[in-house]
Amino acid sequence: MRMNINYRTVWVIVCVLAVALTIPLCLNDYWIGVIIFFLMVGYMSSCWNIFGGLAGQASFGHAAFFGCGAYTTTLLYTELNVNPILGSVAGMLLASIMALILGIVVFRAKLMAIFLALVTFAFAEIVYWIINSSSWSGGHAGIDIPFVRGGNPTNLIFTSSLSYYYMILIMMIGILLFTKWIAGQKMGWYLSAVRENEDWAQALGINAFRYKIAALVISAATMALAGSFFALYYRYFSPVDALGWQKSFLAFLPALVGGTRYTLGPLIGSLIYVGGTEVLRNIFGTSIPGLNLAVFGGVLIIVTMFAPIGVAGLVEKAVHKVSSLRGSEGPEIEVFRGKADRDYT
Amino acid sequence: MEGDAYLYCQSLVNGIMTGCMLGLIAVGLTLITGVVKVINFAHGDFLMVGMYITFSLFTVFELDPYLSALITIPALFLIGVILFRFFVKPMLGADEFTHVLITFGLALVIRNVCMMIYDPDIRVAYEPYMLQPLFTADNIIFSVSRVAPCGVAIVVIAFVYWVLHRTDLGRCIRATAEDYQAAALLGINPNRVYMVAIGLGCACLGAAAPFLLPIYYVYPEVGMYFTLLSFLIMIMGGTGNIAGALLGGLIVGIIQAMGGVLLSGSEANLLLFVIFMLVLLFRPQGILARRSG
Repeated sequence: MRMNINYRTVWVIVCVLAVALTIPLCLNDYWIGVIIFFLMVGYMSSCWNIFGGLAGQASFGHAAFFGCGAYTTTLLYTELNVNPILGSVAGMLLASIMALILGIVVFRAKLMAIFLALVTFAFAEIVYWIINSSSWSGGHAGIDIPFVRGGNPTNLIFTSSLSYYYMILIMMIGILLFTKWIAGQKMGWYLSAVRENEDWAQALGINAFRYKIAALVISAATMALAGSFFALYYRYFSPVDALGWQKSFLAFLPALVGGTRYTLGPLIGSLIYVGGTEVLRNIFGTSIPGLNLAVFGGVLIIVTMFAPIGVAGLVEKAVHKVSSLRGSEGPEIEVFRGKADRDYT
Repeated sequence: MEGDAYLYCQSLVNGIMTGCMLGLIAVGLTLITGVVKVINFAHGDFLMVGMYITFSLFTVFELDPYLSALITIPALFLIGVILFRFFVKPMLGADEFTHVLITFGLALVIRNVCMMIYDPDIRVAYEPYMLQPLFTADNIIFSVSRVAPCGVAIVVIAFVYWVLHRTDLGRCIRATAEDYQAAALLGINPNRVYMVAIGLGCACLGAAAPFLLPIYYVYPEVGMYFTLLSFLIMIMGGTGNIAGALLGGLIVGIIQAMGGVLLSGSEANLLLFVIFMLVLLFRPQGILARRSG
């Protein structure tokens, strides 16, 4: 990994952090809620990107891991009174085990990309239907974490949404640093090699099977943490909220829009998705229901057609252009090396 | 026949007849996926468009839903051509994610435009005669609304099969599906073939929609349900395989109908996905190995 730590990069990071830390203090609860959702989607998408972007494998079933985290944390807390911090660790462990089993099964079968996507999708649906039809999980009606008057900080029940904002902000920074770190490790390089050409990577002695499973397990465990946060923040959810296919889409859509080859891609995609739908909802939502999502669908088509490397790729190109005009090297945001362009025939 | 045995037989018959219809929808998808090699996540939404056309004709002109097939088939063919010209052609050769993103965006647009025009309410359209039994055999009722779709599905699937295997157009389609570069060298224009294949695939939906409306209801979110179901059927049967799509449709129809009586509704869905996963793991190419284009 090339790490160009120059003054400008440091300045940008410091400024972004300062804004991130102070901006919720001057916003109302509605906008804090929107920003929390934006960060949560960005986090989910970053988790997906470890498997989907870095390892280049298609998963449409990350909702299973998300729901695993949400249900494990909630059930352990409500039934056995286990602290949600421990509960989220348990959720991560359980998701890792699920991912390990799923990974061993699907990678042994050597499925094509689209079949892999559909098997993972079916896997998530199976988990959804099991939870939906069981009584111990609250079934179709869903489960809730009872609110304690005055909050209960040791059990991560807070009265103000600011606390949740800082919680998800830390998670987001954590996953960004983690993704950047792992891309520079031996494992990151191996995964990029597997992504670009699995046969060649194996010819060079890389155990593709093992590294793909490792990527899936890491991706699943981090995803489960997002589920735990979701459960603690919303305090009530039904199987559709935690395990529906919409959550899987929420995990990969922003990464694809933003650019899977970039650390910041999922976050940029999430900004476009959440910001776009929210702004459109405020403009059109009350007058014509559905128009906001229709416009979003149109934007999605246009972005995909004209920016196949993702919006982060466009940003990088623009930055390079500006800095080459100035005659200096601009900040690098690309981490996953490899061919970013797709050949259209 | 009486009691439980009667219930099971009636469900089985209903399942088989609905399964043929699901098979027809999957045949449309298998034509698109097998020939053009794009992943169409808006498939169910095109079906929904067909259903809404039928519904509109029924409410505005009081046209018999079954007769509106004469309008929906060409309309959906045209939609297929538009889909190819403006959305599929630019992304030929791009990876699967690009297909999913573009067609999913398209699905979002279609779904929400329908939401704007029609409310999110559930809609049905039927004439009283459709609920009458066409004939009964040993107490088992074969109602018009179930026999008609089954018959149409079989006729249309047979027609598609005939086109693919007995006409020059079909030979061009199969050659292009096999190897589009070799086909192009032999003087076949792949873009034309793709356009016809997508048009034909969508026309299958146009044939399915009017016959589906009396037994399924339509609402703006229904597209996703049919998209997922038809992907499941297509892959179970074997991508690009017409007979496989019909077989997959029958399997899904029977599981849904029998699961409805033997298990609870959600357990039937669970069973469906478990079977799907087992098929994918042990026979990723589908139950019937791929033969035709």
